[in-house]
Amino acid sequence: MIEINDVMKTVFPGEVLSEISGAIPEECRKNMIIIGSLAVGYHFLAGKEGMAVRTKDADCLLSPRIRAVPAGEAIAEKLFTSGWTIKKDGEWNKPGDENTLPSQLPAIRLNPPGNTDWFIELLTVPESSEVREKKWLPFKTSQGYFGLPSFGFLSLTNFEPMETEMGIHVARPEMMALANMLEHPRIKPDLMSGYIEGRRIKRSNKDLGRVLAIAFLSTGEDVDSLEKWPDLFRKAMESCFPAEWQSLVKNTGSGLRELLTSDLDMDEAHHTCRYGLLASQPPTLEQLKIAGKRLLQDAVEPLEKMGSNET
Amino acid sequence: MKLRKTEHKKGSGRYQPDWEGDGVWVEVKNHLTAFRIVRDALFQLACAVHEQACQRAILLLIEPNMSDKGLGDEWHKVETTFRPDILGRLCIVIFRDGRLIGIPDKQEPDLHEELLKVSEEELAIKKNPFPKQDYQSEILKILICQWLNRKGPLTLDWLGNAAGCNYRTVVNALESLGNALARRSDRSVELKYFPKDAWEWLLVNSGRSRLTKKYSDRSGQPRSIDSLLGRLAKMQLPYVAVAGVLGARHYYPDIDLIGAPRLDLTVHCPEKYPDIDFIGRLDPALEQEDDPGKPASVVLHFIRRETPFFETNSAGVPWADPVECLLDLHEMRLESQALGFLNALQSRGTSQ
Repeated sequence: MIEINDVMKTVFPGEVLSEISGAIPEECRKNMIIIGSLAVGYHFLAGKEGMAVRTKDADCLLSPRIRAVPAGEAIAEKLFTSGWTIKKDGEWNKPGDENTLPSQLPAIRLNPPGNTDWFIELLTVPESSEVREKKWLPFKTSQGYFGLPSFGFLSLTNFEPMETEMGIHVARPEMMALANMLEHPRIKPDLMSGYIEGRRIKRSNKDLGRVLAIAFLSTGEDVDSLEKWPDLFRKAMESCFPAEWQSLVKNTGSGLRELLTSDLDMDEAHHTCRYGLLASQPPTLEQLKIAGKRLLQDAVEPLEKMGSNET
Repeated sequence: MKLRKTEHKKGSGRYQPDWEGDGVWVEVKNHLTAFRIVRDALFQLACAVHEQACQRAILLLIEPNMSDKGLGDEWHKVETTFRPDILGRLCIVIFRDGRLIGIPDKQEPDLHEELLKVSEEELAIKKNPFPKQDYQSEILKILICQWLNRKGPLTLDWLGNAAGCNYRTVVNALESLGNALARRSDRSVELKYFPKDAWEWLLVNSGRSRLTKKYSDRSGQPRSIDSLLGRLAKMQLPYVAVAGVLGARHYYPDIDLIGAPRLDLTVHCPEKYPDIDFIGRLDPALEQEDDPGKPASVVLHFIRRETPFFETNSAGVPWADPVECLLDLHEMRLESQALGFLNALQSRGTSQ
């Protein structure tokens, strides 16, 4: 049962990024930012021998939004031509047509040629700082209509992304952590559709678990690194949400605090890390908790204070 | 109304409550087992109320090992003995299982929250793991510290105030120093030379007389000593001083040691159990280590004398006195470094 349902597969971040970069049109590389576990894995683990992550997808953000549709179309066509195929299993595996409402369009999810271990998924940034609900931007391909989803705090991952030697960008890990914390001010009951090593996990626990994983990886490189995050957080929030950043940051850590005090939720978060981003160097539950406490103390509390002091 | 803890001044001869507010005195007795002490305390309060300006006096009994009925009976005896104008200003308040009970059953609504706070704090003090204060060690440490710093003769009063003990205790403590001590006609004393025997005794006893708490890293990603020191400096805690190898290096930069194996801190807590919550702020990865065989990242030593003899640098970081640093080196078995440090301290004094 575990074998059948497990959605996570072991991949090497550098190899996957290289494959994506080589497969998409050269002129679109500058519009593509890799986000999610692959970006985190690339940032912390690429080049380290034997260090892999377990993931199911390569989330690719297309930015700026105004370039997202033409870039999405060009990328999809190039990938179709190169033998990439629409992911078959799961829901939303058929493209829409000209009559399909944007909200009913599937996201484009393509497996590389001869490999169903992972898939590429295209997203874009929200149209403005005020829009945080999920929206779909339709685009047309030779195989039908798809949608580019945008939601929540995705725009943060677009803040000062880091360019790779392959020409595409990867999101800053600290920005992904911030986006996930803001996205989950509390632990919601919604479950992930797929299984992670035999378990269905709350989405909040998976996303906040990623926050812990990022903190753990970051302190693994430099134990004082989190102290540099608050200023960067503030710059990003001021840039992405100029009118309301103060009120948004006041409770940045509320979901994380809830996670750290709930044994059941923390166990789920630990599970996603052990069989996900941190599969190559799994921490103990205690170590992961400490990473969370350090993050709260060194990065989140100063940011929350900045929000309070400004009002 | 706020209640504040009083500073007990020795030898004043007047009654001093443990806590006081505007016209209110609180005498605290923790975990009493004998009615006799309740009677004594009430009598003492009654005399003090009669002689000094106080509107209300409360005998606060924290978790007494006696029944409420027994205490009620005791109060009844008091009612039939004391004058009404005195009695009307006295009461017993019992703190038990987190709740307050008044005898007589009159409420103290304006003081309820404050009395709860006082009770919690006093209870924490009761749980204080400190061994009995070893004044002999403290006085010896102060004498050596002052001698190394060439401070000259010290009066016994000064020593008593610095240690937080009375004159008689100082006199007793000094007896063990024998010929090493020069006694002056003005009742001041000074070490003539480094008291090697007394120092050996201090080293042997320091394990008992100095309360130590050790903390080790549980994250698998330990912070460096410099990182911990930087975080401590940002906290600006005047009652926590850097000691150990770093402290020794502060006084003696040529100490024969690269880096530091751990961060030793001296915590000054003359009256109550200290606030050591700062450890969690220093690093949430630090957990108390009870296994003496395991290495520690941070070690706390507590000093309870009145005067800490901390030295504060321009960055605002307090440094523990050289004697505490020296004891830390011995505790770490850094014997040759300790000897080098002691020699340097002695020659520093003579070269000045």
